[in-house]
Amino acid sequence: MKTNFLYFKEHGKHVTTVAGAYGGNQDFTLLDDSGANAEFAFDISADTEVKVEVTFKEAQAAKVGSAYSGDGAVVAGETVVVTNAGKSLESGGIIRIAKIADTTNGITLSTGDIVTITLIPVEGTEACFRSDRLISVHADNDTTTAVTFAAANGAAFDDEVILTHPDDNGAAFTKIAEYIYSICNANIPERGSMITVCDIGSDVMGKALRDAGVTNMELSIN
Amino acid sequence: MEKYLYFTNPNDTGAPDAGAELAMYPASAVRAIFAASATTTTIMFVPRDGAAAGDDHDTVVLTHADGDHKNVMAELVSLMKGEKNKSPFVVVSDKAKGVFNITGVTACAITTAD
Repeated sequence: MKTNFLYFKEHGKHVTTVAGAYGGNQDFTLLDDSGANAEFAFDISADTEVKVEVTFKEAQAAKVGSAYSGDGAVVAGETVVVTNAGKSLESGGIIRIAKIADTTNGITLSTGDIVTITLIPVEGTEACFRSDRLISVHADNDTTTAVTFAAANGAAFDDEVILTHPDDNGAAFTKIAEYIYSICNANIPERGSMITVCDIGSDVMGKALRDAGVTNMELSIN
Repeated sequence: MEKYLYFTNPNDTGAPDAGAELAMYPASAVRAIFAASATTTTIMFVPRDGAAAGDDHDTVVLTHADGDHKNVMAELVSLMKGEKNKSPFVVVSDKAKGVFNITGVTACAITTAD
């Protein structure tokens, strides 16, 4: 099989080490709505799109609701996944963890606890495309370049990869087009291996994409 | 030489004996591979019925460890490219025989468009 396989993954991870007990709400702002996409590739629209985990620094009693522990206690280093009822999405891209007043799904956060919020993989967050199904690389606007593939589900519309980069009078367009051409046709990878084109969360990206200043990648799958 | 990808998913402990319990596709029929959920990855194939109509596709959904999509995709590509062996017959996920040649894959589900 001659064709190359191209891998893309949208990024999405926020980590906070709790600095002190929360007097008010236990809120964590995801840096996506700012437009910089520093933490997430896109704006989260539902709390079910993310997995929220809490790793406790110390063993404590009466720390978590009954959904996590029969007696409410946790041990040092223990990690729990916050239940759907224990998290909510607030305006401004804020994920809120319910406090222990919710005796079932609530959690009390203390100094040193680590909150990790990650994107839950679904169709459209991670994909591997065949290079021989590439349709085009084209400039969408000053700061985005689209890479399109024939739709995997057979639909008339294409599957699309949107790369965001600086407005640099077209230099990024050229770099991206040349890079996609090279990975589709050349034997630059080890024989047979999948090529990771853009996995920002793992800080893995083709050199030419990095040179082009790519800061974000979003998938649009039919 | 073309590789052929083999999957079985019997509903019981016996051999595959019903629809959608066994499938084999040429690697060239793979259109793309997508994450489907936290623990599943979908392989999209050209439909077996050969229909030209839009939106037709067959799928094999692999079940694996949480968040392990990249590894599953990489190992599947490796199998398709014959990195691990030169045989054209490639067992990907064979529940009937308990053979899973992608690390962490434990099951598959086969769905055809027709």
